[in-house]
Amino acid sequence: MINRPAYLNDVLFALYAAEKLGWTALARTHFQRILYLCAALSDLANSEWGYDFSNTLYGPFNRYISTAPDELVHQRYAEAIEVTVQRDSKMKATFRATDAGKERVELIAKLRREQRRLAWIYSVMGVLTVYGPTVTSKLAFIEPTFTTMKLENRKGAIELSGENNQSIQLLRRLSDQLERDYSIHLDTPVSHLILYFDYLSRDIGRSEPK
Amino acid sequence: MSLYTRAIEMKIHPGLNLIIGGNGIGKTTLVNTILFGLVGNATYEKLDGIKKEVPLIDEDYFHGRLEPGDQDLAQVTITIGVGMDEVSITRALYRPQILRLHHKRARTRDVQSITGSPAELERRYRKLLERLLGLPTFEDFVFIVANLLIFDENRRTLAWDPEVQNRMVRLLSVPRQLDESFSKLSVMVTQNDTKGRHKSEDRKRIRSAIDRWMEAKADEDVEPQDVDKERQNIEKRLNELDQQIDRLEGEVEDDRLKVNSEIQRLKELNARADEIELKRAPLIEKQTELESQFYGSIYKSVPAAYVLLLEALVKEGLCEFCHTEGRQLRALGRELKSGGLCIVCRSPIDYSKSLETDNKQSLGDEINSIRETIELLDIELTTFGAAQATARSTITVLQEVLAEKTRSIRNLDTERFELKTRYTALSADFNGDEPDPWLLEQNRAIKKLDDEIEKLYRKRDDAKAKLREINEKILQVLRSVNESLTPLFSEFASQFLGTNCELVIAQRTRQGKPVAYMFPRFLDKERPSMNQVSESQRFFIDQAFRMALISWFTQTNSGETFCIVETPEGSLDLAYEENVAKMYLEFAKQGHSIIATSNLNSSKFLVELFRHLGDNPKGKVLDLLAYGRLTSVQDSHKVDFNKSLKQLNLPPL
Repeated sequence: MINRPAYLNDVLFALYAAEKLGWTALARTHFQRILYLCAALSDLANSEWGYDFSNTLYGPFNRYISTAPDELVHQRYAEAIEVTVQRDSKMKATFRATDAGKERVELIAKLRREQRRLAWIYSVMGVLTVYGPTVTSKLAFIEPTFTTMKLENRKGAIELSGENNQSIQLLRRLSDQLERDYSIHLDTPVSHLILYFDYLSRDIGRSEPK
Repeated sequence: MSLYTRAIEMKIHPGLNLIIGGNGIGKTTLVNTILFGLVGNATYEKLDGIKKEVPLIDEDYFHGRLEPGDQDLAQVTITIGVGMDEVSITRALYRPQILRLHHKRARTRDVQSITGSPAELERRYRKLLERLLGLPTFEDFVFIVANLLIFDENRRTLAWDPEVQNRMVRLLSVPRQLDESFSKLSVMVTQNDTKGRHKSEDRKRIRSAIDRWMEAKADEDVEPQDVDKERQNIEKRLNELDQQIDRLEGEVEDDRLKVNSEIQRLKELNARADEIELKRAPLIEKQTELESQFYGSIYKSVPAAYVLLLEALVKEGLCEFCHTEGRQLRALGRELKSGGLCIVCRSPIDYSKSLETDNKQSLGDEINSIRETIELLDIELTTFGAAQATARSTITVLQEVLAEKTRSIRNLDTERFELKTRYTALSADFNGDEPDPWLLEQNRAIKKLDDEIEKLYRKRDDAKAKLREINEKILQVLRSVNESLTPLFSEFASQFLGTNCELVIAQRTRQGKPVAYMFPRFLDKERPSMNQVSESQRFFIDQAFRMALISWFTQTNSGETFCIVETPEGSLDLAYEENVAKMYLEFAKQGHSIIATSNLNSSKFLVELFRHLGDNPKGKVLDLLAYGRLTSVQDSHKVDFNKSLKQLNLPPL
C-alpha cells in the first residue's frame, strides 16, 4: 500500500517537469495518462511503480491521482488556470506549479528515491514533448497492456507486473528486432522510450515538434 | 490492551449472566477467552464421520487480536469452583502457557500454589480437574464443554447427532466400568475384524500363486536337456541381475547423499535469506517512520478529508458533513477558498509554515542512507533467491532420478524373485515324484492362516456378543435417563414451542457397533432428522435438549454447572423472542449459570430478560460497550445505543 505523499509527489513532479519542458499547463487527464505511461514502462527504470490504474472507459484511471491536483492547489503548490465550470457542475481546469510547489519539489528530491522518480517522469515527458500533448492523450489508449485489458473486457486493476506487462514485452520484441536485423543497439532507457513511443504513435496524427 | 480498553472482571452468578454489546465489540472473543482459560489449547475428538482431534480454541486464535505491544501482557485468570474446592488458573493469551496455578482445598481451605515448567503445570492442571470432576480424561471434559456447554454461533446440534449424543449421554450417565468395557469391546471388534480380513487377503494371494504355478506346470512338458539349458540361462541372468542391482543400489546411496547435501545447502541459504530479511524489516520500518516525519510539514498542513469537504462545497454546493445543499453554499465555499479561510473556524490559513530546511536536509540524508542499505540487502536477497531456486530445482531433478532408480531396482528385484522361484521349480522337477517343496511350504502357510483367521473371527464374534449384552445394559440406563430427561426436556421445549414435546429413544448400527440415541417428538410426529423441524425450531429444541441434560445431570449428581449461549435471539420473530427468553429464565430459575451474549438492538429479547432480572441488573450484566472500542459506525449511533441502555436501566456510554 503506497502512502498519500506518493500520489501528491508524482503529480507535483509532473507539473514541475511540464514547466521545465515548456508545456503550458496540464489538464486532469494528462496526469492519469502520463503517470500511467511512467508506471507501465517503469521496468526500464528498474523500479517498481507502487500503485495501480484501473481500466475505465476514459482510459487508465487512479482516483487518488484525480484528486491530487485539487489538494495541491489547496496547499498552494499548484494553481488552477483556465477554470470553467461545466453545466453538470464539474470543474474543468488546467494546472501549473507555483513557486512554492517548485521549491517543494526540490526539497522532496533530496530523497534519492524521489529524485529517481522525478528523473523518470521527466524522461518520459521529455520524449513525449516531441509528439505534443494530443498524442500524449491518445498514447495511453493504444498502449498494449491497456488495450489487452480492454479487449478481454477485464475489470479492475491493470496488471503491470512481470509477464503480464504487455508494454515491456512489446518493447523487448522491438529492441530485439532492431538488434537482430539492423544491429542497432539501444543502450539507455531514454533510447528505449523513443523507440517505443515512436512505434506506438505511428498511426496517430503527430504534430510537428515545436 | 488491544482486545479491550481495560481489564474485565466477571463473576458468574447462578442464574442469568448477560454479556451485551455491539457487533465486533468482542463478545465472542470474551467467551473464547473464558474457554481458553478453562482448557487452553486442549483438543477433543470431533465425531463427525472421520474421527479428528481438534482444539477447542485454535493456537493462533488471539494472534490477530493482539497488538504486538500487548502480546506479553494479555492474560486470563479463571477461578473454577468444584464443590468446595477452588482452582484458579492464569494463562497467557499469546502463547500456550500457564502462568499461575492455585488450588484452594475443600477440607483444609489452604491455598496451594503449584509451580513447575509450563508443560508440567498443564499436566497437573488437567490431572487436578480430572480428579475433581471425576472424569476419565481431560479430553472428555473438553468434549463436554465443546458439545454440551457451549452453544455458539456455529449452532452444532446435539439433539440430532447420534454419535456425539451417544458419547455425551454415556459420559454423563453410564457407569464408568460399563462404558469402558463398551469402548474396549468396540475396539476389539474392529481390530479383530481388520486383522482377520488382512489374513484372508494373504491367504487369497497364496492361493492364486499356487493356481498360477499349477497352470504353468501343466503347460510344461520339458525334456531334461531343455531344463539344463534353461537353468544355465537363469543362472546367467541371475548373475547379471545381482550385478545390476548392486550397481544401482550403490548409485542410489550416492544420490541420496547428494540430495541430502543439496537440502542442507538450501536450508543454509534459507537461513541466510531469513537473516537478511530480519535485518531488512526494521530498516523498512525506520524508513517509513522517517519519511512520515519528512513529509510532516510538507503535506500535513491540510488533511485530505478537509480538501474533499472544501471541493464538494465549491463544486457541488454540498456539505458532505451534514448533507445540506444549495447555491449559497457553493458561493460560501468559493469565498472561503479564495479568501484562504478555514471552512471549519473561518481563520486565515497560514501556508507559510517554516520548512525547517536544515532538519529536512539531515532527515533526507538519513532516509537516503537507510534506503541505500535496504537496496543493497535487496540485491543480496535477489542473489539468494536465485541460488535458492537453483538449489530447489536441483533437488527436484535429483529426487526424480532417485525415484526412477528405485523403481528400476524394484522391477529388477521382482524379476530376480520370479527367476529364483522358477529355478527352484525346475530343480524340484528332477526330484522325481517327490512333492514340490515350494508347494508344500505354501500349503503349510495356508493351513496356518486358516487357523489364525478362525481364531480372530471367533474373538470378534465373542466380543460382538458381549458388546450387544453391554449395549442392552447401556440401553436400560439410557431408558431410565430418558424417563427423567423427557419431563425436563418437555418443560423447556414447551416454553419455546408452546406445545408438549417428548424424547424418543432409538437405536442404530454404526460400523457394526450399536449406537443408542434420543430424538424429539412433538405435535404427534417423531422427528428423527433435523430436517423435520424448521431452522429456528431446530436450534431451540437442541437448546432445550442441552438444558434438560444439564439439569438432569446436576439433579442426579448434586452440583452446579454453567453453559454459554451466543446471541440466541438471532433470526427469531417477535413472538418467539419472548418464548426463548422465557425458556432461559426457566432454566436460570433452577439455579444454573447461563452466560448469554446478546447484541444491543431493537429486539424484545433483552427487554424480556431484563424484566426478570429485577430492579438491579448490575453485577449480572457485563456491558462490553464500556470496555471495547466502538467503530465509527457505532460511534455515530451513540444516541440509539444510549436509548437502549436507558430502557434496560443501564448507565449510558
